[in-house]
Amino acid sequence: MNCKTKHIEGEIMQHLSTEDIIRYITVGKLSEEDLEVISRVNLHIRDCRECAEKVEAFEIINGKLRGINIESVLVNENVEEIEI
Amino acid sequence: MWVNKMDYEQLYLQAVSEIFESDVPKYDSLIRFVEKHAKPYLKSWCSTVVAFKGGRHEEDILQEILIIVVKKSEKYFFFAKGTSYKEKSCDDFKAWLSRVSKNYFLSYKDKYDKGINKPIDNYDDDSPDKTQEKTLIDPKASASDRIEKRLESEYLISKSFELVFDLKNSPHIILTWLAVSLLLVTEDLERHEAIKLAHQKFDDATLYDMFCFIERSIEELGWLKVDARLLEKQKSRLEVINEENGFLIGESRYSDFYMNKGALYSMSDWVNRIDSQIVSRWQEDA
Repeated sequence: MNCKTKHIEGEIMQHLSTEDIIRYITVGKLSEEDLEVISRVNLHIRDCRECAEKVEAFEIINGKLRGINIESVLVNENVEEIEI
Repeated sequence: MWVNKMDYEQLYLQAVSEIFESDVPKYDSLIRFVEKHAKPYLKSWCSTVVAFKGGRHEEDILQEILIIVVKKSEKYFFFAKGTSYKEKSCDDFKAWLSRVSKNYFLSYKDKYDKGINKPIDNYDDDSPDKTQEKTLIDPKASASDRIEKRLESEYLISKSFELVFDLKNSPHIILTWLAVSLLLVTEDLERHEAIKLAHQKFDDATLYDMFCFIERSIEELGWLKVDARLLEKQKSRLEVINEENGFLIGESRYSDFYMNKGALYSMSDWVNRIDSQIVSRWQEDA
């Protein structure tokens, strides 16, 4: 567990734990529990660049392990016409 | 269900308010929006692919799109390129969502065409050539990119396996991670699907059976290199007497190790535990 703390706008904020990040990047279905994790992590990484970068790095590794290129799904603007 | 423009506008505003104007982000309206908007497109796209008829693929694709949108819309839409959600409209969101849905659908179909998006419980017999090479990377990448990325992925996976074979957790935990990961790599499943499949496969099996499956799968994959000494080391841990029942550990039934919360919960927990250790080790190495 990472238990470092840092100050953000006067408040003490605890960094995300490795377990949180792993649960976030490996969400498989949107159960209530998963949504709670996503919500907590999304909220945290809005303000914490350090954790945002860590999540990003883990996602790249996880993507490589799973063979998924989500980045290209999100940023590719040259969408082909669907021809079947 | 037909939804008029006003309904969409209202739903969009509600979604934005739930995400950005409450103490904790909520995604109920966002999910409803995505379902209403993307479902009809997906239905029509899937209906044009013979193998996708029947709804199963449609559901899988929609579920993935929902996860992507809930996790990534803040970065890639609401605050994309230094903008703010306040500058975005419902129509902007629809356009972005359509693009992401179409990109995901095309990448899913691409993978399916290569024979690697097969469902767990009803593998279609009319699916494309199952002997085609399984890809680990974006099929649209250039040839040299493909080779480089493939080698990189294979290297990372091999390293993870070696690391796990060397861990000292209980054998059933290590074997669970190895079996689930092999199913992830060879069957291209989502994690929860791989766990479900591993449960079906090994519920009645012994730890020796699991080990044999792992050993055989590694051999069949070819590119996954694991030091023979590490394999031997884990195998020797199965040859120790279990003091609780007097049998060899390897002869114990896998299902005897489940925790009270059930098989899938236990397996998921064991996989998570090993995942944490891998990531911690990577962090240390970095």
